Amino acid sequence: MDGNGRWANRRGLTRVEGHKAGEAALLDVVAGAIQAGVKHLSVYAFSTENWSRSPDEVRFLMGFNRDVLHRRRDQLNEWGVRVRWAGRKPRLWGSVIKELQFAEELTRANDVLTLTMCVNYGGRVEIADAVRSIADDVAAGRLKPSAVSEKLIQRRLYLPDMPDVDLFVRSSGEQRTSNFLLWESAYAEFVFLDTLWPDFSRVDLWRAIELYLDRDRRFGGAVDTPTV
Amino acid sequence: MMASQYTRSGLFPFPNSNSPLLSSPSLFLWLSFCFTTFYYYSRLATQGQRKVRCFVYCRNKSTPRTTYGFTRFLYLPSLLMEKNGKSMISKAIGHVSFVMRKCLFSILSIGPVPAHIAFIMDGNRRYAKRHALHQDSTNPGSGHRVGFKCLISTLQYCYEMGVKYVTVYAFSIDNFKRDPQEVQSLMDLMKEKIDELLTEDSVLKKFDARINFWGDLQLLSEPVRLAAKKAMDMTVHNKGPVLSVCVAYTSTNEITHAIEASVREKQENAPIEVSDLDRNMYTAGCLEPDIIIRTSGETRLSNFLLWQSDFTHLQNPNPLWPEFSLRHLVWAVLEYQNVHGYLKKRKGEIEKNK
Repeated sequence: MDGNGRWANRRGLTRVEGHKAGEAALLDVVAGAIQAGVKHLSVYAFSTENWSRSPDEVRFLMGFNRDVLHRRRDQLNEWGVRVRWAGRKPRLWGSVIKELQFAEELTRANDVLTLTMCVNYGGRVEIADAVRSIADDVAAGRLKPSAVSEKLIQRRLYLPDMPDVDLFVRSSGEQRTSNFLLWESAYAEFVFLDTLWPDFSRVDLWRAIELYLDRDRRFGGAVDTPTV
Repeated sequence: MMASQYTRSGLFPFPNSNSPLLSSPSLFLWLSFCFTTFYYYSRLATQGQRKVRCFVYCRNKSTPRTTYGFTRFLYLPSLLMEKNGKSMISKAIGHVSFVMRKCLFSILSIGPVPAHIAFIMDGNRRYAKRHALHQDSTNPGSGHRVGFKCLISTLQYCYEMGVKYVTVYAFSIDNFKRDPQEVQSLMDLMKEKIDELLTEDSVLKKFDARINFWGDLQLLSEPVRLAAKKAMDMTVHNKGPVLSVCVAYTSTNEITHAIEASVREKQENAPIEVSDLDRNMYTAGCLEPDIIIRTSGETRLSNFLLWQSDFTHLQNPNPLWPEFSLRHLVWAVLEYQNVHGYLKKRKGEIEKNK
């Protein structure tokens, strides 16, 4: 969800106003995903790298994430959305963790769409945290180093049952991954749209899905197209 | 990817462009001239296996004559280099091309030149089908052979431009799922080309370049594995740029390998950090890529350099890999220069926080 700051700067507003405008875009995209039949949607709400921003902005983002969850959890619950959290606890405000856990509990039984909020998340940090849990097991003698495999690492990620990413959409025209869902997006199709996040709508999501549907996904294999 | 006012404005010669090169009208005109000249040269130089007929300058009357009007002299370099690469005329043309490229690259270097470019060389098979290259049972890898020629020319351009590291995705672990005949032909081609890269007139020798092979080399056939090891041993002391070939590679496999190595080396209860994993990656000691270019218009990384591509600018030009030429490379660098300032600023903020 990139581009809040630039959207605000273009209008002579503060970055904080940009983040506030992004909330409506998020809800519209969730609604659009439900209409399109998407089952899993993950959003990058706060990165571990965002701690480098100004203390005022960080303070605002923490409070904003908490307030959005508090304000919107009932609406998401009505829509049948299951809210989940992917991220780590260190440095994350206790009040934000509480809201995330409350939203997870409230929406546990929903199955229309799973919305994964990546808050205090980093792709490399996720893998490093998985490694720590593996290293603890090795140190305790429960695991041998030679048993480390891709399947084992997958099981130690924040949400082991989250399926791999099929479509990775980034707004604002930036053409990079920022290590978002690093492990899970190995074979994801990337769509970079120039629209800034506050201007993003369900139509942009559907456009990205249309581009995705045109792609020929081979996962490394190469099957000859029939010539008949 | 869609154009927009925000990202595309930097690519036109307006004063507020992010690229210093494109914001100066005179430099832009000179760049356009060089670019246009190389556009035609690069199109002709990559004709590959097409037969080119040319107005003859030699006295061999059996050579067919066909006139192409005023453009006939442009076809001459391609023909002479194909049929008689060591002739004086072709050498002279080669020198002229080199000088023109030097001028072009010196203009490009006004902006930041990427230190590390990575390529996903996609489209060899589609190129072979499109150009009806011979794909019988004895030579299923003909598209890949043409792709190798493109790799050599791209390496030359990158090194002349001053790019220090070039990484290519030659063969993924997932590619073992392909037809066994194609896999075998790729292995044979790899061995042949590794040996070719070590000859006296290869691009590696010319630039005193070092070669690395990244991946689970135990999965390769023994001749290829031994050839790769020999190539790495022979070039380990070279001081020039670096070519890293990812073979039997996937990023998740690389991360798994790094985790196993980190877990083995760490003492009990010592925490494993991101820096420990960095140190055990195949890419340890190498800069992170500035650009990853995937040809043929596909927009996925296919398990390539996932860990290393945090701040990498991803590009997906439409040409198939054998069609990728100097003009596409120059355009890729210009696009990179357009976003470089912003990426550097963001990276600086994050490094400061660490």
